[in-house]
Amino acid sequence: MENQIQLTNVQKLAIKEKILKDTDHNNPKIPQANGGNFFNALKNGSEKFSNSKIKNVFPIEGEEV
Amino acid sequence: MGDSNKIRNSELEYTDIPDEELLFIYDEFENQFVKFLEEIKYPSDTKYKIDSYALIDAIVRVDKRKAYFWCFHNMEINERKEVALYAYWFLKFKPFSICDNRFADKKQTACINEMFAIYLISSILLFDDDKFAEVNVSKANDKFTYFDKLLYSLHYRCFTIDSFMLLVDSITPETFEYEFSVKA
Repeated sequence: MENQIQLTNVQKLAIKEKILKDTDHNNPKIPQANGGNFFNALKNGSEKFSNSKIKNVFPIEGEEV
Repeated sequence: MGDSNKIRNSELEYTDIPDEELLFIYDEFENQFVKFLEEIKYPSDTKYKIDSYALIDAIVRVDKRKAYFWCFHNMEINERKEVALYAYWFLKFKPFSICDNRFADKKQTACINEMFAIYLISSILLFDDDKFAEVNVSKANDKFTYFDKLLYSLHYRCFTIDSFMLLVDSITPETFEYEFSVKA
């Protein structure tokens, strides 16, 4: 058997560098929209839920799901 | 190869979630669960139970996943991804239950974690984009809503944690308005 694609160690390490670069999203640690407090967001959203039409699709107690 | 006695990345260490933060999150989810039951018209004296081990396990796992994203992806996850993580573990561990004879033997009772997960996701969507408050959605007799579809899938199908985060991150107001001819 013979490997048809022979790479040098330099080529292999260049691929490693490329993978690290490609997968380094380098996200600037963007904080969440409300300053990182998920539960403020949840509270805010759940207050809006009460008056939203999305609520209409939730089966109320006793309704078939 | 470096110091052979030292394991690479051995300095990386997860710092436990502080006790007060864990207790705060625990209470927030209990409050949200009670609010959710009220929203879907369960009587105020409904008896419910929280499996503390399961809820705390879910909270710790989400905290670890957030640390993973911070450490290996250099990012703080957004609210949609975070609610997807909580929803994922709630679906797996099922920490919430209704233990009230009035509602025993009902499918809705059996699906309460799935419904609560959709409620949490909906709340974050409503926070994230005001257009979600304007979605025109109603229950037509011969059609199934996105809620129906999602509930069925959460109850019967399998998701990976990453696919679930992608799903929640990609929901648009139009997704909620879509009508389906089949439930499954």
